[in-house]
Amino acid sequence: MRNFYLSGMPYRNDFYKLIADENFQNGIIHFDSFDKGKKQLFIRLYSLNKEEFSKAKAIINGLSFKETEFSEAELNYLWKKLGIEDSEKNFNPRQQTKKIITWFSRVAAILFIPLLITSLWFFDKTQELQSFKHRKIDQLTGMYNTVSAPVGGKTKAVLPDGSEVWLNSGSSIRYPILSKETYREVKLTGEGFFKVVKNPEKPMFVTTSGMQVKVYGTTFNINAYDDNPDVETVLVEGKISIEKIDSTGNPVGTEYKMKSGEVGRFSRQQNTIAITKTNNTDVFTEWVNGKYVFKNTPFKEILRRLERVHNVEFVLEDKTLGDYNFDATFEDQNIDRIMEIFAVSLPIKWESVKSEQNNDKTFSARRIIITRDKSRKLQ
Amino acid sequence: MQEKINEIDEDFLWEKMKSGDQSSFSQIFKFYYPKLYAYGIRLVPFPDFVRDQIQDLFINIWQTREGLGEVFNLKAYLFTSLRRRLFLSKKKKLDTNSLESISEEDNQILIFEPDEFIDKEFISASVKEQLIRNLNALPVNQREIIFLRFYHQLTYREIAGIINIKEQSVKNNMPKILQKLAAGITGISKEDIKDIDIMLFNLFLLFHKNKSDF
Repeated sequence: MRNFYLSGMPYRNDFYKLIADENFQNGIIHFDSFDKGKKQLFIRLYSLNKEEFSKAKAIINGLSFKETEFSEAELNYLWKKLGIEDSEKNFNPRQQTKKIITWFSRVAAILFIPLLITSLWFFDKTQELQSFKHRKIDQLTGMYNTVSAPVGGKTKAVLPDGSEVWLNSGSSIRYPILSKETYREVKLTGEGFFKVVKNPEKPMFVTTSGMQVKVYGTTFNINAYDDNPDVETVLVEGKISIEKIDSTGNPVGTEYKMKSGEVGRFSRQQNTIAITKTNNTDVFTEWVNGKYVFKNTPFKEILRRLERVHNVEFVLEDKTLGDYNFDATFEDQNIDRIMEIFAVSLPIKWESVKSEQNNDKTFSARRIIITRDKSRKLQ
Repeated sequence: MQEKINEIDEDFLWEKMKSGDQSSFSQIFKFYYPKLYAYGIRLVPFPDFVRDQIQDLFINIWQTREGLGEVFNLKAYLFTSLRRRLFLSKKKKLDTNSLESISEEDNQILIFEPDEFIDKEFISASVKEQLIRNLNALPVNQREIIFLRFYHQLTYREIAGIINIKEQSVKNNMPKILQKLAAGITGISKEDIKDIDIMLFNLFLLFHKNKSDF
């Protein structure tokens, strides 16, 4: 049986029968984890020589497949989608699934998401890292890329799938470097304008705190700046849906489908979603082109919007001035010119306090104090 | 990868599920969904369709749970059921005669790419490529067997049950399949066998040589 040293042929006649043996295969697969004694035992048990061992190892270990992973969040989502928890209420799970699936296939939405909001929904890092044994994937899994726009500036980012995101001042997005097989994900803080590449097989989830947007290919805007009471999602073209999510990222309550020209407002305080129509998506989206469009907007709100863009802090001493509504369009002009424009319609004076350089080399916001000019009357 | 929920737990979960415990069923679902998807997508490369079928499978199990018997091999049961479903639906779509076997027309499925395999330090790129080439050159039925054996770590008995052939048939064919896989591969380089392993072999050889000294 053994032709080892005699004929110079290193492999036994029934070599392939040997490596076809299930127990032998298991031993080769786990060989490196054996202690020395066990290793010796294994080699003796099968009377292995170096060449046989080497070849067996090459074949059997060469066939190590990478595992397809699903995140905890997605598994939770799939479980919910099964509808079994609702089955007590005589709810037909299959129908619901069908409805969602047909709806998905009709989606081709364009949304502007002003900002990506950070949420912890998809990013359970420790779980993902534990389940990947694969060395290469180990290096990349759990690693995220963060792109931020500086305060007072804008940034454009391109996601791994080619989708484009414009980020407004002080906003950022966070997304995994290695995207999941079945879905795309992005976390948003602040405001972002999205042009999502169409992929019906792989929906994109844009998450903000308390809310997520499900997208298949679309252009939309989400304004989710932390100091706004509402998260505002404006759909310019196509179809998307929005829904609330809980702290672990699971969808809660109804999924609201949106059509182009609609605005979905998620109230953080009341934890509700409301959909309204707008004739003017420009108001929400023109910031990408450097224009800020305001329609019948209170002065104080305009100031708040401008604050972010220009890295200034407005102090409005006479609060009543704040309630006057304006239609206005501002291009990225400097603050002084903007104040001059306002001064045409409002009796105001302003004074700016110089910005200072902080210890970390950043500049503090320039303060502009607006007071009522008593010598002028309101137009 | 953990190929099965712990044996004891699996039986327990199954029994609890049958008596209506959703949380047990949820554990089974979440544990096996990724594995079923990884398998199903190989047979029918349409993600939404495969997801639908897996979903239907689990819904069906839940709805008929009271009438289900004891399943002593849950993994094999799930795999077999999914495979049957996928082929039945495919049959309806394509109106072919093949019910539970893959025909050579399906040769495009179960084709593997290098980046689907883990890189092992001791296996050179050329060995890896050769292995994958040999694998993709196998007939599609044999590729499925290799996939079930090495990805899902199913036993030959389980595999035989899933693809509906005799266990002895699988066992008889494996050496031939592996020989085809090994074509052109001599093994890993000697330097890669760790020193301790070489020591083990030398010890053994010493022993063996002494024994055969006439």
